[in-house]
Amino acid sequence: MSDESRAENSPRPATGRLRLQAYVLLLLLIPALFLAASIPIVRSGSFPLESGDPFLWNPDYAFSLNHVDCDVVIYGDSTALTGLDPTVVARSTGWKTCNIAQARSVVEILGRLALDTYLRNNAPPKYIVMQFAPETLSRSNTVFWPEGITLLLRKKSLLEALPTLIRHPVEAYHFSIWAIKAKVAAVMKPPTDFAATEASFQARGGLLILPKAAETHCYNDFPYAQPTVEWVRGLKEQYAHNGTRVVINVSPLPSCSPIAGPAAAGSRNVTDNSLSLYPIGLFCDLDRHLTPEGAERASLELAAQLVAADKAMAGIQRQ
Amino acid sequence: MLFNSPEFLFCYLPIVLLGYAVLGKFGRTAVVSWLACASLAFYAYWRPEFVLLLAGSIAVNYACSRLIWRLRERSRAQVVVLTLAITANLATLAFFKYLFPLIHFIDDTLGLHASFTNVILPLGISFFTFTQIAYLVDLSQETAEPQDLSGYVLFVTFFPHLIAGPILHHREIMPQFAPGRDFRIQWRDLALGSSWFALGLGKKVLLADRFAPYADAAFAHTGSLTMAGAWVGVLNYALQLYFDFSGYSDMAIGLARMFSIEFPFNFDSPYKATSIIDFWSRWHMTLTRYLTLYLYNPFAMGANRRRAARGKSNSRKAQRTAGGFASLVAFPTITTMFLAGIWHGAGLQFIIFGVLHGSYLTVNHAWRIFRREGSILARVIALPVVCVGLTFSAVLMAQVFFRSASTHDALQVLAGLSGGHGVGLDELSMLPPHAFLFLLALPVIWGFPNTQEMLGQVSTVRANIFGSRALAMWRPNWAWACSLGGLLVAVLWYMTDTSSFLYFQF
Repeated sequence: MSDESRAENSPRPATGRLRLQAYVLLLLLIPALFLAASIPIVRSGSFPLESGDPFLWNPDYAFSLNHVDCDVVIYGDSTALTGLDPTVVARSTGWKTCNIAQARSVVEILGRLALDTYLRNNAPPKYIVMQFAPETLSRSNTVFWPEGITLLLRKKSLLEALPTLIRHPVEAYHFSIWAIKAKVAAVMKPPTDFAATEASFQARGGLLILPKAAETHCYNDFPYAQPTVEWVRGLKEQYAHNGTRVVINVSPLPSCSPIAGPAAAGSRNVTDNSLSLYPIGLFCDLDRHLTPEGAERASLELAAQLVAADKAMAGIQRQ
Repeated sequence: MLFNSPEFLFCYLPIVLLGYAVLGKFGRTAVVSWLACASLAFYAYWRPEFVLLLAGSIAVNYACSRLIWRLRERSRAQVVVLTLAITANLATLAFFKYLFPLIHFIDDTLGLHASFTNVILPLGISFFTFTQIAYLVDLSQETAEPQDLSGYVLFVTFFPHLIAGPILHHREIMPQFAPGRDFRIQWRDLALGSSWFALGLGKKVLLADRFAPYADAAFAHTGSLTMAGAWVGVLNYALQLYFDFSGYSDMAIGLARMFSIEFPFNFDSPYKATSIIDFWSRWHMTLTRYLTLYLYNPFAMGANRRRAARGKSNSRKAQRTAGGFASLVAFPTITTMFLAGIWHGAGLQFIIFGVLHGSYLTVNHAWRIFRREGSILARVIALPVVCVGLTFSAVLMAQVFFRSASTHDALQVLAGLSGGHGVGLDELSMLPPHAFLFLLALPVIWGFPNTQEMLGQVSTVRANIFGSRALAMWRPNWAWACSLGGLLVAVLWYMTDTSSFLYFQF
């Protein structure tokens, strides 16, 4: 086609500026409203169940504990949520234990709101145990996974949440589409009833058992970054008050993990434990989340660590 | 950064538009500098280190342009500078695009098994190199004018065309960056540009990316393609390429229009073409124009001169002789398309693609020149179904070479198409319904107006083989806003897995 055929002289409707502005606004408003529809969806009571995300199915648990006054409070990322069994720790130590850990992105986006809320509503614990995966110990980047933004929208007001979403528009977009797709999927096919999982969760004091089979090989795809030492120290300083002692641990890795070496070296002298390497068969998800057997082993190790620390402290006090 | 990525849509574009709206009040320098910086940032997002290459290319070419203009009274010196500049441009292009594939080819052919590292092909290198060569050539012929640095930088880098065209001609773009125009937001252009962009984005995300998996699957297993599988794969690829490039072109034109810059059309329903000559006037139109101006015309003029020197005629009548046709039509056409094939990529399959199209064009010209008007064959071929079908089939065969990873693969696909690996009709029942989306898409392509026709950007909507021109023309009203807004909603739904554009590899 020759350029002459362009419609330079074709009749242009006399369209007013206001009408053009309204057109552009409407064109942009429709997709914007579509994305914004994710906000009421996420804030609805049924969404955690509808999301199909096991890390979201009980997002209010950590905030719901009032006057339970646990001696040991387990906090941290999803490795703690799925890997430290309060019933095992309680059995081994004799201390009442609860697990209020949350997924990594919740910890990174929402901060330690769950822990702070717990401490406000309960007596100071004897121990706060914080367990993080090696990559969570590094503050080099924030992950914007759905769990974090979901909790942000559910626990904060829209005005408080909006700055984070505006600063991270790409992540906000992906989240919106994820939430809307989850809602549509739930409408098409009602989600599974989590009554059994709920009962187990309550009975185990907050341990989440993922409905997954044991892994057979490593596929670690998390890039490793050195821990942020100041952040770890800051956590201890912030929460070691009123007789509470803070233990910060690194979560176990499979022995086949390609980052096992650097992670062990990186956490040395930073965390209160040394990195444990477990057989891959004790993991069921992402080389990070443990099977019930893996959680039992990790919980026993934690109990032994706490008892040893308690004895050491008692020794110091006697002297 | 891809036009169909959330980063572009939710971060880059709003910021650049906002900056344009604010700085527009301060006049040309502020706007041109802003858009040039934003365009460099757009390029840097891919690989920051390659901005140095782009900036170096611009600096050298701009310096050469000043020198060429200054030497316009001394033609010999000017030719030397122009030759050096073109050589430097082509050498850079050859290094990044052709050197290592050539070394690997020699290595494979001779069985040397030496290890050579590859270089990364800088995005858009062909486009910004050719744009600048054309400007230098025209400047030396005084058909272009010297530019200030910021205007030149923006001409080369303006982000809507930087990565994959359209290949801009300075005459149509430079005046739009010149002093004197209003650089503030024009709401009519914003409305039109955003609609154009939305249609292009829809073509890419909702159509091209849906065809891609079936095309990719077919071209990944060329050795075992049955006839049915090959046809499904090749037709899916034809539509993937069509909507990918058409969508990209619409997005580029729409983006430019948001800033009140008019780009030339680059895509005009090529599958509606009634001949190969017609096809190349509709497919990658700015490349065709470039090839015609800077390759075909010089070759044709050279042929004219050589014949004239031998005392032979160059008239239309001379074209009707075998010798005249060979030197005046066939030679410049095939040579130009041979080079066009090389431009598309390093590999024998691209050369075959070019030569095949050169041969098609030559046959088409021969038919045009030698056919007997009114013969039965001429009347049959003139039927829309026949000529469009024939052209489309020829294009499909060439696209097999265009898409294949090697000539061997292309020949395997052609063998598959002709039933060399079995018919495989039973395979069709195992394919999901989406694999046959092309059966719906082809009638739409042939039967409906294209984007620029719908948007009222051509003075007449051409008739097409189904004769449907009744589709509502675009108007900035609520119905269109709601329709395109709905289209954008569908795009957002599917855009979570961003895919690149096919023409980015060139």
